[in-house]
Amino acid sequence: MAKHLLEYIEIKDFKCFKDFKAEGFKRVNLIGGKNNVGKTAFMEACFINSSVRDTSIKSLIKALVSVEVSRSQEWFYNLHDSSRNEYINSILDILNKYHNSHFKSIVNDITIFFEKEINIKINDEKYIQDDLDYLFNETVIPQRYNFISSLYISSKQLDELYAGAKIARKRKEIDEFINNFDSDLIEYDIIKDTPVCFSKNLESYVNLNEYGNGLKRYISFVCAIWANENGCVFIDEIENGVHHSHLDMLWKVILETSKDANCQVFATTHSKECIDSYARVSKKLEEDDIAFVALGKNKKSELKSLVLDFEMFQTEILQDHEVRGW
Amino acid sequence: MVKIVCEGKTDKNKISEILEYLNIEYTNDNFIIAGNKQNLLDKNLVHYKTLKLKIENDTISKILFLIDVDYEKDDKTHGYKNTESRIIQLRKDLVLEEISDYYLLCNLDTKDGFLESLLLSTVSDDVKKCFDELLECKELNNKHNHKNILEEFYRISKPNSPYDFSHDNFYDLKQKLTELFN
Repeated sequence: MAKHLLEYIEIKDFKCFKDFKAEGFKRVNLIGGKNNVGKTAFMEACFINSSVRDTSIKSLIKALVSVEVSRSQEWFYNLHDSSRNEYINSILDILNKYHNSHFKSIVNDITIFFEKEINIKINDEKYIQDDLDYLFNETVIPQRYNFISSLYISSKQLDELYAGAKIARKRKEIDEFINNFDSDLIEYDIIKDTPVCFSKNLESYVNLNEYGNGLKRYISFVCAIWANENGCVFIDEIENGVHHSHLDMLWKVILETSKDANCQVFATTHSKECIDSYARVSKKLEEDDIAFVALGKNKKSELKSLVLDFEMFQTEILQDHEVRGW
Repeated sequence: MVKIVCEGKTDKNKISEILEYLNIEYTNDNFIIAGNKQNLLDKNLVHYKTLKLKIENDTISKILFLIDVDYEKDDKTHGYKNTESRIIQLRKDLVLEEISDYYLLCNLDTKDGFLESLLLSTVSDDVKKCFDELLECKELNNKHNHKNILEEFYRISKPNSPYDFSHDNFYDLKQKLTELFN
């Protein structure tokens, strides 16, 4: 079995995570748990940890800010309409929320804490507030192109993801994929910043917004995987907008594409149908580089995980056990 | 959450009937079906790997192993003493002694057989004698046939009722199940 970017993670003092460890992640990981248990926060921690490249403070700040921006549009407008000073203060406000946070995996060991001013440690590199100043020369709002939110996928994000897929020379695969989804559609493209599909029946390009959110999400998943070869993709509430009859096809594409792209996928779900489909398709494809991660709280109300490998997961499903967290 | 570890689906169904008789609420989650006796006694069974992780997360508090005694002449793991020593060893290997218990399923008089033997042990002596004589027929005497035949016998002998769970022979098993869910 291939090595993956994240095979374990330790999270301390981040949102609902006090002192959390989980290990045994595979190439594709489906995460289940009750409402508000911390599924999205878990993926955000994995996202933050895996987004830092070459101990770069810039990549960390971008990851932290993009987490806040995608959680709250308020942050987006705060940052978007702000002067440079306001921008810096907003960024520092965001960083304040990460006091004492610690994210550790095989890729990065990150600690953020405050002693009068901000201190950040990435692996063996230490940064203080002065080191951040140069970052504030450009008031850009970072986006999480490898994190597919459950709420909204912007045309800009689709554009970026499709560009990544094109760089990987996978246009043909994307076209085949949308055609499998809907036989009327034979081509996907971005024309004048607008995502469109070519309809055989209408003999013209149709704005993607004319179709349901499901198609948009489908396309974003596949493009995101190709755009993140040898990296990670995070998908929140993967079943959103997807009809149950399409779930098997979706998992087939995710399992096969992620293997070809050597891309590690983390996805959350509430849906039993989605979990059953994941089990069914991985079994049919004999794809054992998968895991199911259930999140729940122990007697002390501490967040814990149950990471099931292929065999354990299949056994639990076969026995009709509840796997959607506890 | 408590778990009952049993050999097969039929065992699960029968134990479910006893739980219903005892007015104990249960779900599929309360059962682990090992598949057969050999699997149940295998400390490396994948089910036990998951079980251990769930215990670490405080999601499982108590476990009851239910295992057929079978017949000593058939296998070295069979018979009352062999089965008991194997299940004690399994609980030790899995470090589950403190939170688990076991019950050996058999005819309480002869100390051999299966869950079906326990169920059938509650019929009258006359009927039981008839069954024993019929079961001596070699053609019928393999475990699978044996279990099905015993069950069918029971049905024939008591057509108007399910199993008589009020019978004394079920006392210990009912106690173990009640304690498990308490």
